[in-house]
Formats: sequence, structure tokens, C-alpha cells
Amino acid sequence: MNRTDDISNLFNGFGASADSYLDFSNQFDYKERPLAFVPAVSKPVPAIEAAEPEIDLSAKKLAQTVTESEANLEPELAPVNAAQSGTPLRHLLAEVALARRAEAQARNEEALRQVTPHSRPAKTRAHVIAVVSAKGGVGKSTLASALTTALRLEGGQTLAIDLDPQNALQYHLGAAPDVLGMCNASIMGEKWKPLLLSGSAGTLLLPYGAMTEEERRTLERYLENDRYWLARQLASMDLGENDVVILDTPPGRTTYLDQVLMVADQVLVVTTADAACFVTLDQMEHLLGERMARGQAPLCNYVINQFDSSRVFCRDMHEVIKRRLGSRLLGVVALDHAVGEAMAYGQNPLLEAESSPACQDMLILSDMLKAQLKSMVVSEFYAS
Amino acid sequence: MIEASTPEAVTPTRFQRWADAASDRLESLPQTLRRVLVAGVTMLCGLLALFIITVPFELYSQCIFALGCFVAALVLRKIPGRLTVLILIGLSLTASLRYLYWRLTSTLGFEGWVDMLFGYGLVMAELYAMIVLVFGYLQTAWPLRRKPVLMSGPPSEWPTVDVFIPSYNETLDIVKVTIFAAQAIDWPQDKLRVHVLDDGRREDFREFCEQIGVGYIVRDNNRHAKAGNLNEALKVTSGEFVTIFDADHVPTRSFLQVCVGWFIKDPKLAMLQTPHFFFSPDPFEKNLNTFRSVPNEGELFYGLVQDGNDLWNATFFCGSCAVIRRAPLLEIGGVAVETVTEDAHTALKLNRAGYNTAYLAIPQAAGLATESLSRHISQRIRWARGMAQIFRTDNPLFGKGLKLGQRLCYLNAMLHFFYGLPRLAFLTAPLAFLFFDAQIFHASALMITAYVLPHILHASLTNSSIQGRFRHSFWNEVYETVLAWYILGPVLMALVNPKFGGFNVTDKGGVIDKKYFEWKLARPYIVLLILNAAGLIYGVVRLMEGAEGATTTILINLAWTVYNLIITSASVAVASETRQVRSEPRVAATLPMRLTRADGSVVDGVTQDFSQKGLGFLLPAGIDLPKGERVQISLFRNQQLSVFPAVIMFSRDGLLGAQFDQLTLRQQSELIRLTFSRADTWASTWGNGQVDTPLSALREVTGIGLRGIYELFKATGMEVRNLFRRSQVSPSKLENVLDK
Repeated sequence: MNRTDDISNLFNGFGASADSYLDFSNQFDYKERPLAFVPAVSKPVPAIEAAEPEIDLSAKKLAQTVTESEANLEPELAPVNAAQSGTPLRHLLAEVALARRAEAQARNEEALRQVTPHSRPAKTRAHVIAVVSAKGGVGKSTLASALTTALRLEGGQTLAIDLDPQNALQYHLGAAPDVLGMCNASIMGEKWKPLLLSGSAGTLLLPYGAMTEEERRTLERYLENDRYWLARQLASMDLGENDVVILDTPPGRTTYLDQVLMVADQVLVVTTADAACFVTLDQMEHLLGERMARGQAPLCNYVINQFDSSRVFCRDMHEVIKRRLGSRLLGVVALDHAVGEAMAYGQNPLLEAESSPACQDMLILSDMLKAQLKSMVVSEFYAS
Repeated sequence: MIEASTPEAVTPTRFQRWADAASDRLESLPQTLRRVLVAGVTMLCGLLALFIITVPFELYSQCIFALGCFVAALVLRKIPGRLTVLILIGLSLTASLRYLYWRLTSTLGFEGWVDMLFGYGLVMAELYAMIVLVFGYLQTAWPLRRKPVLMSGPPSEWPTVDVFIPSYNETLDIVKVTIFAAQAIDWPQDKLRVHVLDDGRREDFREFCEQIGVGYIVRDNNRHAKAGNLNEALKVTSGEFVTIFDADHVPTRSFLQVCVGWFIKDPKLAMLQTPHFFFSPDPFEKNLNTFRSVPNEGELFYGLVQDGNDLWNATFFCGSCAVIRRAPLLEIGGVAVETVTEDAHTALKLNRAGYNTAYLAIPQAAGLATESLSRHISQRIRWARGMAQIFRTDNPLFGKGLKLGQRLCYLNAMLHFFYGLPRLAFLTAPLAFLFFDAQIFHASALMITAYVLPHILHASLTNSSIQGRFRHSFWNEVYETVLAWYILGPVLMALVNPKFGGFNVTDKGGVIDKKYFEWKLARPYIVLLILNAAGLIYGVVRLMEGAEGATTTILINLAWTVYNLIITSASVAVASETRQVRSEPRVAATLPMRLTRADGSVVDGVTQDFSQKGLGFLLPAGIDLPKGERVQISLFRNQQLSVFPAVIMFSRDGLLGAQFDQLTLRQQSELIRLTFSRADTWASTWGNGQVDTPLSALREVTGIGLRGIYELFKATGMEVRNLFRRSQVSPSKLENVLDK
């Protein structure tokens, strides 16, 4: 056992080996006096806990704005239908435009339905890394944006595609929010490549986009009907073999996940060191197992995010997860509020808070994935 | 910044390889032939030595011979290795024994009682110095440099150990650190029992021990101070081994695993001692500002002398930082109570009973040095008195159970403390001639020079080679001068009547608010200084007057007086107590740390020093924090963080100081585990001081001496002014308190 600590320093000092030295961490029960617990100690703790819901809150806010915008749309249609007799010209024109759009949509749907089921698209030459999780709020989008910023192959581009209706990835990467997102583009049959936005630090991003509930369900129907939908979209982007695609997915078992598992070369499962995530590990492994049974499974790795190393519970959970997953656990990213705050201020944490421990961990993670990526043998075709 | 010191590698020279080959051939000879050969060679060497020592030379030939030897010594000094040391000792002994023979045969012929008084007095002092020199060589020529033996076998087979922490009047704050560190020692939990032996029977100690789950032992009396305390505790405990730490000696976590191994290896081993390391400066280092540049007084003893004793199986117990096997200790009747240095006496008894004692020169515990000069002096008085008592009541030269080497080592340890009278004699000897014109040395001045100079120079050079890492030249004289007057009385008393209890005058110590001069303590040095200064002036005057035929004699005496002046003025400098800014000493250490601010941002930094209450550290890029900000400081142990709340005390240019804020017991324990219990902190600064060169040491001591004289004048001026103002500040009360 190679030690690099005070014991090894001591023994090196007189030329002996510290191999047979044993550490004991004896536990004692101390009877603390009640006065010893001072409120000052607990003050920082609420600050830590308060930070976590922030991101979720912002997500909820986004959902709210989406639903608000949906609500805004509908009242617009109502006046058109109600006032048929004395309607102004603009209303008539709006009606015509709407009808035109609906027709185009129907045509597209038909076209897609006809074209898709049996032809398998060519496998894109780019490397695809999917960031998935069984539970929400574990920091998937944060990690996805970090990977997009940090992971780059020579001579290629790295782009991120947000498949999460939450549509949060654009905020992580600081891309302008009011453009046509992936969802709308897909429904209208537009190609993805020209719609890529540039985010911070030279990243490319295709956001999910703001859409109505109706539109979302339409898209998901496409996905359900066509196993190779995402593969097709990627193929149409004409990516090179040095390009890397990072896919951000919604949590849990969704139809997006099935699409993603079809195309991904590497899958990164994000989890946190608590009981809630642990019990969902089964689900995730089951799912991945199914995929593996069908052949050509992607390389699966796990990462523990938002890790608070000052708590014994977290460290113990880490140990438990490590024992279960073994070498599949790639690493640990420390809990660091600098990251969450960077997003709130519209900054990329990897640029602003470079020296923070979490950013260091994320960079290490990115390097490990890159190393794996380079050593992988990628097959030419998709499996069935 | 924590560097490990590596032992010197001795590359075998061609001569050494030849010597190895020769000894191999010798081993192969049959027994009787070998004995005859050895006896023959010894006799031949003896005769040769006798011849060299006793042959009388005239001035010229003596000078040539002395010069030759000295040049040889200077050249050989550069070659490292044990053989060189032996040769240097041989040369030094030659010069010194030649001098002694000539001294005793040619220079004693006194007339008149004045001459006889001073003359014989000086000879006795010189004889004492010579004996101590020879025994010293014997002790330190070949330090054993024992390496620790690590524990083998599963922890379930390791022996049980009782850790005793005796305490009398130390505050809980200080002892707490030791107790937590003792709990944190790496040893199976069911086999490590920590006990606090409280002779003060204090309620807060009892409560604390109950809260953290360590043993608390009291007795209803205080007979025999610490020895009695330990003996009572031995009766109510049962561990196979006993470890003793003084109340302020904090052990590292590796203490037991490093020390107990030897007991398993050697079943006859009864006691293993480790060094007393101090992380705060002692009064010499503090007042003379020589902390970590000049080795302190203890380093010679713990770095070299005990290591040398170990070769002869004569290591003695020093009262703390040692492991003792219970059975032999009970066999000799527990810790010795007959003398005040109960520790050395206990080891002597163990050796007499046929057990072995051992020494590991690796500091595995550290404590606070004596805070003030008066405390320091009273501690040394106690040691001197105790050693004199043992000399009288249990003399190592007589009595059975000891080998010759052990007898001589113990004897030297005791003789060392009798330097009071000889040192005073040396400091006043030249004055006898200068003032009273006493003819105490019947020889021409040049002959004296030709014999005395080689003796002194060789001794100086050889001692510098042997001890250079642990003591600088001339510092011996300073330490002795400071204590000579004070130990003279108690030692004489103890020699005459060992049963006399005496009293120890102890100062309470603590925070010294302002710089002041210890007038009461410095009186003897000032007297000596004035006498020698007067002698110098008088001698110069006589020289200028042109006394007939005595010019060289006066010059020699003047040179000696100047040397005495340097030493005494340096002693005066020690009495000028410097201001102690911190009430709690800090340990310098570089450890990685992490700071979390109130807003949650995290910065990684590096510690500069730590104490029980606070931490000094460096942050990168000169980050400054406002005083009073609450932060969380995290320290690492193997990738794991432990967090401690703290308050910033000062911040300047990236160097910050913080004080820990009401830690829980668990946090305190964890903090000590991460700081004081680290195994390498003390060992990395041990023996790393500058190696001695006699000339630069002399220059340094002279500088200190000049500063001492300056301080004396300044203090005198202040006292005179105070006398005029009639607002004299009374010095701290001296009480009769049993010191430790």
C-alpha cells in the first residue's frame, strides 16, 4: 500500500517502510454539553440547503413561462372565431395563415409517417454522449453544459442538443432564448443544423424550444412511432468523425431516453449520493440491461453529482454506490454553489469559477470521457 | 515544506573495506589464538599510549608534536564516518592526557596558602573537566541509532497499554490537548486505556474525562508528588504496558506502534524512551532569539547523549514520553520515590535488576518548554539535586547488577551536574593572578601555551565534530554559567545530606506583558561580569606599567579573562526576558486547508501554523478577509474534509489568522487528530539546525554577549530613572510551589 501522508513522511525520514502501519479510526461517544451547540455553527447550513432548490425553482419558473405563453396563445384565437361577421382584415388573414400552417403540419406528419418505419438511417460519424438520470434535479443539464464546454476533439465541433422539455440547457450555455427550438423545427420538418445557436465558450446548442402542449405531444408521437427518429436527425446533420454530440435528456423513463439509447456511444448516468437516487439505480440498470440485450449497447458510466464531502452520510453513500457500481462509477463532482450561481448570473462556470472544486471535478470527468471515447471501437451501424 | 532528514550515507573507503576484510579474517581464527592476539594488541596499545603520554618534551618538540596532531585533526575532520570520530577522539585524548600528566607532575609546587588555595582549586576543577570529557567521549563516540521495529501480527494480539497523564496544577485547556491526542493514538480501541491522574482533584477535569470517556484516577493525598501519583495509578490499572505523558506533552498518533515493537522483539526490555521535543522556545532561545537556528539545550541530551547511552544499555527514563513494561516496574517496587529525580532512579533500578532499557531518537511527542528563566532554573536545580541524591544513596559505581559501561554512563550523567564549583573556578581563575599575583601555575607561559592550547583546541574540535548537529561550540559554557551559581548550593547540600528536602522556588509564569530584566536572577552573572571586567582593566594597566618578566603571563590571563567576559555577558543577555506576545505558542506546519466563506464561496489555502485555539494560513492571490468574519475552515485527512467554524482575527496580504469558534468536543478531538497527532511534524524539524563551526559559534556568542551588556546598561538606566520617580514595579511573587 503506497501512502503519501504523515506516516509515510515519518518513516521515510529514518529509512523504513510504512507498509505494516495500521490506521485505526476509533469511534468514541462524546457527551456534548448542550451549550456547546451554538447557532452560529448552523448558520451556513441553511445557505447550503437553500442553494439547491434554486435551480429547481428556476426550472419551475421556466415551465410556468411556457404554460403562460401557451395560455397567451389561446385567447388570441378566440376573438377570431367569435367575431366572424364584422371581422377586420387582419383577422381574416390570420385565419388563413393558421390554416396554412395546420395543413403543412398535417402534410409533414403524413410524410414522416410514410417515410420512417422501416428504413434505418446511416449511423452518424460523430461521437454521441448522452447525459441521463433516473431522477430530476441531480444536475444533468449542468453537467451536460460543462461537458459541452470542456470536451472537444481536435478538428471537430462539440454541440449540445437539449431533448428535455424543461428547455434549461440554453440558460446554462447562455444562448439567446427566443428562437425556433428543436421541437418546433422537428414538427415543421426543418433541418437541425442551421438552427444551432452559439453559446458561451464557443459551444453550439440546439435548445428544446418553447412549444405548446399540443406540439410536444405531437413530437413525442413521432418518437414513439419511429425508433430511428433521433438517428435520422443526427444523420441529416452531416457531422464529422471528430464532432461530439452531447444529448441532454429529461429524467426518468421517457420516450426521449429510448431514442437516445439507440444513438448514444456513451451514456453518463447522473446521480446524487442520497437514498432517493439510490433506489432508482435499479430502474436505470434494468433499462440499460434491456438495451444491452438487443446488442450494441452504449458504454455506461455513472457520476455522483453535488457531493458534499463534509458529511459522513454522503461519504458513506459514496462508498455504497462505489461498491455497487465498481469501475462504472467514473467519478464525483463536489457540491459547489459557484456553479449554480454562475448560471444565475448568466455565466459559464467553467469560465468564471475555474478554480472551484466542482469545476475541477467536471474537467476531470470530461477528460475521462474523452479518453474512453478515443479508445472505443465504434460500430458502423445501428443495432435493431 | 516538511522535509524528512535522511541519515548520512557512509561510503566505504578503501581503508574501511580493508578493515572489514581484516576483521573477517580475524573472525575465522580459532578462539584461543584470537584471545591471545587481542590481549597482545591491547597491551601493546596500552604501552604505546603510556609512552606517548608520559614522554617529556621540551618546548620546541612539544610545539611540533602538538601542531602535527592538530593539523591531522583538522584534515581528518572533513571525512565523515564513525572511524574518523574514533581517531579524533584518540588524538584529543593524547593531547589532553599529555597535558594532564605534565600538569600533575611539573606544575604543582606551591608556597603560601594563597597559592595553594587557588592552585589546588584550579587543578581539581581541571580534573573534573577532564573526567567529564573522557566519560563524555565514551558516552557519545558511538551512538546506537536504533531503528524502530514495527508491530507485526494482527491487532487482536497486540498488548494492552495504559496511558497515564499525571497532572497537578496545569489548567484543563493545556491537558485537554494531551488527552485528546492520547485517545487518537493508533491502537486497537479495546487495548488502549487513557487515564488522567489528577493530583489536584479538580471537578472540571473529572467532568471532562467523563464526557469523553477516559479514565480519571485520584488519590486522597499528594505524597511523593508525581512518583506517588503514578504508583497509586499502577495499583488500579492492569495494562501490560504503561505509557507516561506529562500534562503538556502531546503524543502523535504513531507513538505506540513505533515504540512497542521493540518490547515484543526483546523480552528483557523494560523501558523505551523517546525525546522530549519542544515546539515552543525555552528561555535561552526566546531571550537570545536563537529558536531553531542554534540547537537548544535539550538537543544534545536527547539527540546524542541518550543515543550514546543506548549502546551501553544505560538509557535512563526521563519522566515522560516513554513506554514501560509493567511487570519489571512492579518488580522493583514501582516508580522510585527516594529522590527527586524519580525517573533516572527508576531506570537505574531497572538496570540493576537485569532489565534492558532502550532509546529511539525519533520525537513522537512534543510539549511546551519552560516559559521563564526562573522556572527553567528551578527545574534544573531539581534535576541536579536529585542526581546528587542518587550519587550519594545509590551510587552506580558500587552495588551489583550493572555492567561497567552502564556504571560509567550513569556516573557521567550524575557528574555532569556537579559543574557548579568547577565552572565558577574557571570563571574566576585568571583573576587570582591579576589581582593577587598568585602563582598558581608553575611553568613558563610558553610551556603552558604549548600544552594547554592543544588540549583545549582538540577538545573543542572533537566535540564539535561529534556534537555539531546537536550543540554549537561555546554554548556549553553559557548554559553552565547561567546555572552554575544556582545548582552549587543544592548539589552540595544533597551530597552532604541527601535526605534534606529543600524547597523549590517557582515562579508562576504565564504571559509576560512587557520586556523586563530579571535582576534577582541575573545577580551572579553581573557580579562575575564586573569582576572579570575589573580584572581586564587592571591587567591592561599592569601591562602598560611594564611588570618585569610577567608580560606573557599577563597576556595569557587577559586572554582568558576576555573569554570569560564573553561567556558571562552572554549569560546576562539570557536574563533579559523578552515580551511574550501570544499566551499560547503556535506550531509551525504546512498543511492543505480549505476556507468556506459566509456566502458559500470556497478557497483552497495552506496553513502556516496552528495551535489548539487558532490557525494561521496563507490564501492565494492575496485574498483579504475582514476581521470578525465568520468562516468555516476545513482540514484534510486522506481526501476527507473536517470542517471547523472560526472567526477571522487578522488578515494582511494573503496571510490570515483565525480563531476557532466554540468547537464541540468531537470537533476539538478531530482538530487535534488533524494537527497535533500528525506523525511527522516533530520528526521533520528534529536535528535540522545549522551544523556547528567553532569560529562562527564564537562570533555568535560574542554578538549575544555584546547585546547582553547593552541590555544591562539599558535596564540599569531604567532602574535609576524609576528610583527617582519612586514608582517601582514589584517583580512577580515567588512562591514555594512544588514544580513538576
